[in-house]
Amino acid sequence: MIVIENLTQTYKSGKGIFDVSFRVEEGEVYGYLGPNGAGKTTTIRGILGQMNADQGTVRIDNMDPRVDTKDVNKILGYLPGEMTFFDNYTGTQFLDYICNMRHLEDHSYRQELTALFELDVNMKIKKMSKGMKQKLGIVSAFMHDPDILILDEPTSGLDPLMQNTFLDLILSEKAKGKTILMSSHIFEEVEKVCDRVGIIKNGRIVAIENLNDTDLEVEDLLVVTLEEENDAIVSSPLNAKKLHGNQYQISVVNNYPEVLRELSNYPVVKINVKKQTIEELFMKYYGGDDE
Amino acid sequence: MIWDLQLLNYRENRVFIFGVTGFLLIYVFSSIGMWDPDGIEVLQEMMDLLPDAMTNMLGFGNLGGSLTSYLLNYMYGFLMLLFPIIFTVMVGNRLVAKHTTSGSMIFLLTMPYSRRRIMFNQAVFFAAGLFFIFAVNVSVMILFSNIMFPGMLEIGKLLIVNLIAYGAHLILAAIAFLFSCLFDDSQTTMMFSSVVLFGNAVAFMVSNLGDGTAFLKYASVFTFIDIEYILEGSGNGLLTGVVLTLIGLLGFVGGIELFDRKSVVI
Repeated sequence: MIVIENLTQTYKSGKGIFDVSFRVEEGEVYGYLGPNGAGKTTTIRGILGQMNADQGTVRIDNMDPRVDTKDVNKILGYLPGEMTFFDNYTGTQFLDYICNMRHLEDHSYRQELTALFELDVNMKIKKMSKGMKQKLGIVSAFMHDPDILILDEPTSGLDPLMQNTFLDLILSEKAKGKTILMSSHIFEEVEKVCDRVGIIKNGRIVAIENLNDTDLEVEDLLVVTLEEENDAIVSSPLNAKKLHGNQYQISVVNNYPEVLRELSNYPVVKINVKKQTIEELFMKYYGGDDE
Repeated sequence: MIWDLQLLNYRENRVFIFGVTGFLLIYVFSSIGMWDPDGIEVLQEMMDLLPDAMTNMLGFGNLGGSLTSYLLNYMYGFLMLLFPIIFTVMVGNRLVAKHTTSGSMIFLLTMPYSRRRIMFNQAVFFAAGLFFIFAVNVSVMILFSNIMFPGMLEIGKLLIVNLIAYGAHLILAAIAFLFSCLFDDSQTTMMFSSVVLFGNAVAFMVSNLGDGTAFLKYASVFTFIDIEYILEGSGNGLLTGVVLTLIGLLGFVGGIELFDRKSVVI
């Protein structure tokens, strides 16, 4: 379990995190979301015990990560948002290094994960693509089967197929009772795996939401292309706005039947669903501008 | 000791260890090979053709009449002072600050070891790497001298000079390590280390130019490598070397403590 209470760290610039409090229960996947510079990484630094906070506490399974670093690191797996590996290492050499440092003798889960992500570990890391490096990072974070996982933008660089593979992995880890904190920008993946999300903005937690809450109004944006330009759609009951030419954007909030009925009155040639980032979605409720 | 971390350090820094060691060995072989017990005056005359300022600065001003005097003046007036600094500046940066800057520090600090233990290992590698450079060169000096000129090298004096030189370099390495632990970026670490360490060497070399610049010797830790003094058998070179080494080790302890207490940018 991760418990953060009133964690505060102020940088010289005045930025930082202020009175951040939340907890991630055992067997829970907690989404940690916020715009760039909001304080996500600073919070993660606190969780990893790499920061001398001005005030507040972090407890991981009742241990202080700043003091009990060795013991906390035994039960923790961390996937950084941006990864730089060691110069001139192959994937195998890097994984061997992590295994040896962790005194991990059973390599079966490592091999399982390597096969799952179709990762060629014999290649030099500096020759790997971003996606391959991400897979290597995932294998290294998960292979010692840690109780607690801290994942910063875990699907970044993965192709859609591998994103799904990763999300299935998260669900299976969750089923094993793991405590997982992950930051993400993609609503679909957060929606699929997270139980709750915490939104941080300008260093302060502005919302903690239960994603199973049916009252949460989730907006989908449809980009509709008509046969020809017809601005009548803008003044229709559809919540539409013109993008350009014969393309219009329609906001759907839990009202697909009504929207589809109304759309049947127009000569639609194409409908695309525009993916919203989780930040866009929640900032609509809690944010205003970023300042 | 965390041997897997040492293996990582070795893989990432071997080029500097073997590069500097190898480069110095070339001079060891060539200097001993050049020495002629019957023709030392010729060599000194050749050196005298060069400007005094240059030979004094490089420590070639008085090569002396014995193999020991010649070798110590030739190797420890300039070569064994300046070239290990290249190793120190580069490796000092790579052991800590480069990992912090690039982000690979996370693969050190999220392992099941305390920060202090990780940094202790980095310090040990640094001190051991420097020791290797000296140990190999001194061993080759002794072996090659004994092959070429059996019994002519005063090994005790050579070892004392090397102990002092190692101690002096260890203090510089500790300074580089402190900078590496203090700063969060590689560039600042390299800048401070280069200025202080090369400045130290340059101050020593310039102090040999003449009376006008002699005061600069107080700005350099290399002043403790007083070859004339050791050749005369004066003073307690062993004690000097041990004290310098201990100061260097204390500096490393400072670096480890500093890193343990700081907020690390990851």
